[in-house]
Amino acid sequence: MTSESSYIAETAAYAIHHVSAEVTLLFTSLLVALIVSLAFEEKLHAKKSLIVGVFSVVCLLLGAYFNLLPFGELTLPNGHKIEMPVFIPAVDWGVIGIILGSSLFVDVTSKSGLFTWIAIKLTKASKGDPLKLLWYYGLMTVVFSAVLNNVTAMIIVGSLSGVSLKKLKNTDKLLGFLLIEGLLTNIGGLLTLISSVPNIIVGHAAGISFVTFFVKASPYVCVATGLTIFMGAKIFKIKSLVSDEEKHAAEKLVASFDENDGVVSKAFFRFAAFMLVAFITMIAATSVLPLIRNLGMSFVAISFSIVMLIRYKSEVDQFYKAIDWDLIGFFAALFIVINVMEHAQVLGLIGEGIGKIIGETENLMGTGALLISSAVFSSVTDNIPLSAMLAKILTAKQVASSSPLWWAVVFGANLGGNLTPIGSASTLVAVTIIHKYNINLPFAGFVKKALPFAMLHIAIAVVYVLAFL
Amino acid sequence: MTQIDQFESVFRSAVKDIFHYEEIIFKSVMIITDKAEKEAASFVENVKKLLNTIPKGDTFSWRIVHGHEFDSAKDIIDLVEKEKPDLVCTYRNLHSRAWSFKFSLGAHLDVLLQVSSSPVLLLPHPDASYAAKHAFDTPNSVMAVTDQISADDRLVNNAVRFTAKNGTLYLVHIENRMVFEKFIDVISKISSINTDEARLNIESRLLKEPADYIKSCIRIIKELGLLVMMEAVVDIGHHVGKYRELIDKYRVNMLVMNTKDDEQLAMHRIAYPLAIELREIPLLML
Repeated sequence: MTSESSYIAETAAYAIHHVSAEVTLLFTSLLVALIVSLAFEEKLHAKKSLIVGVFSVVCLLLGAYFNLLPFGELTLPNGHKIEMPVFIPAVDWGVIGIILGSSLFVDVTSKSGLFTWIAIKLTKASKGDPLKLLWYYGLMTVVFSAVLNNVTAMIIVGSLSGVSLKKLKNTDKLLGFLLIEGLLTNIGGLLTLISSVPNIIVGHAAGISFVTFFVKASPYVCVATGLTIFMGAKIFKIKSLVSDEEKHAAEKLVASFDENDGVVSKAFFRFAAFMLVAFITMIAATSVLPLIRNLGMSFVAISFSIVMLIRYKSEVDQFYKAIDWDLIGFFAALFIVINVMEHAQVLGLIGEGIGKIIGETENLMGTGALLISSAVFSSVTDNIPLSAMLAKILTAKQVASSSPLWWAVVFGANLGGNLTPIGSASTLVAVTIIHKYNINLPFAGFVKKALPFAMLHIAIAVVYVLAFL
Repeated sequence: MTQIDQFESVFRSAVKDIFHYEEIIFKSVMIITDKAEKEAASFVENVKKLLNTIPKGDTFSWRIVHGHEFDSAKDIIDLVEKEKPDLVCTYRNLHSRAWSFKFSLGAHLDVLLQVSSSPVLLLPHPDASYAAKHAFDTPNSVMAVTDQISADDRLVNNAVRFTAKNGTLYLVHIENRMVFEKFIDVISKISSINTDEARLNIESRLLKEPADYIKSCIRIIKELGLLVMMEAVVDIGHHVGKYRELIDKYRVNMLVMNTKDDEQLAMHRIAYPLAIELREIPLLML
């Protein structure tokens, strides 16, 4: 287990003290209210960070009032004691460091034109054939989701799909492309430990290494990607061009894309490509490299982002402005809320409920049920609180890192995003692009079109987790 | 979702118009004059000399229309529509003495330029003294006005065919300074937009696209081995003044431009003032 998860286990043990049932129920109702508020984020016209921020303030005040919080000095590993506000150690700074560092790294790297260069090269390689384009864009979505993050991947591939299909006069196929790409972001998000936030949280808590995660998740990702694109092409009638005239016209149209247009400096472009490969290699090898092993993935992510920022040394503030502070604030506040919930025995209560789903001892039915219920839950609200909560509960239950229960949470939390347009941030981006092109796709319309795919993904995931993990 | 727009902008910017070359062969040229055969002889001779270098088909023919064959604009339109020549050569203010004033092209030309699908080569009036000395020389310095329609292959292809062997074709794109400043003035009153940044970005963007298209024209003509030298001029300025300056600078002896405007019945915004002002050299009006 990592130092963070050891800390979580210690604090969980510390939290076992008497709390009245009324207090636990009060905090449980606060947690339910938080989840409902997040589900209605759009209706409330409020950002996630503020919603959870308000709840964290209320939770801390009530926690202090009911004497639930462990006030006092904090003992460091070297024996020193330090004064620290009670909510600071509640935050998992390792996770926040990875998200902060990775997003900065990706943002600066994208300025080199590397991702758009790859995207346009693939567009040209398709010669404008719609079916080839769907396969190339689908595979690119999965790879970008795995290497970058789901939202950035969807923005890059989705915006390219809009521009290229318009150029190819194939805007009638745009809905199919964007929907499939949206679904594939959540498949690609399963590929590596850093591909999505639930992976980072659960992987961190379980102590799963980058390489183990990749080796175990990749067979599923390959099969699910192939089936999704194949099925998508059939359902949305995306076919290859037949006549030579059509092929020639399409090839001429895609030839007008210039992959080098976004490359401002060739030297920086090559440097960015090198750094991207080095970043992935370093993240993959973190658990085995001396020094780096102790500093952790967040160190790797932040140091790589700092190296990249040297290129823009006089304007780094522009990149700081572009950081998704709403997401960072959301995480910090969420960790605080969950910490208070832990002290209020709410997680223990939910843990008992989950215990009933998964059974006293690990069994196939229980693992499958955990995966499906995680998927259903994350389809209507954010999958991050779900994974953070479940990770903490499984840690408290001292579930071994090799247990399929961790994978049930990872697969359920990621794939649930495919059931509804609000299930994940990347599907929300896909729907935003769909609406930007004046394509009518209401909530129910999305569910109707995405349901066959989501059911297939979850069914294969259940079989895969139960049979192979 | 600002980032969606950012990436869309990057991809939209990557889509570039590429020039496609097309061979143009002339099978028939119609010369329209308001004079009698004898009086028109010198003008006809000059036109034939000027068009000596254009690629002509095996069945090439000249058709000379004299003053007695037409009266109204309708007569000219009927003639052109009936015979469908590949090129019409004429001059301004037919059947009128208004050619001495710099105010109009005359009723015949106003209509012909809008209705005819055939390109019109507008020449200096044979009776006027304002024709440049090199006006009827072999066109070895041709300028094409590319700022009317982006990626206009037809315009460039015609300009290439009219440029004499080893001559120079200037592809010129001038953005209107007055229009640009008007928008910058509006932007300067919007507090959320940085005016200096907007000026810099809009100016470079405005000039980048035509520069890219012209680059593709130059590359393709070079790859095809056509014996035409090409140069690009992309700038912001006052339209007519800037063109006049460039015409003098490069001793241009033919200006090529579009006249049709899909959005209006009248001639293209810049084509008309240029045609009125530039009386000294031949103007190929497509």
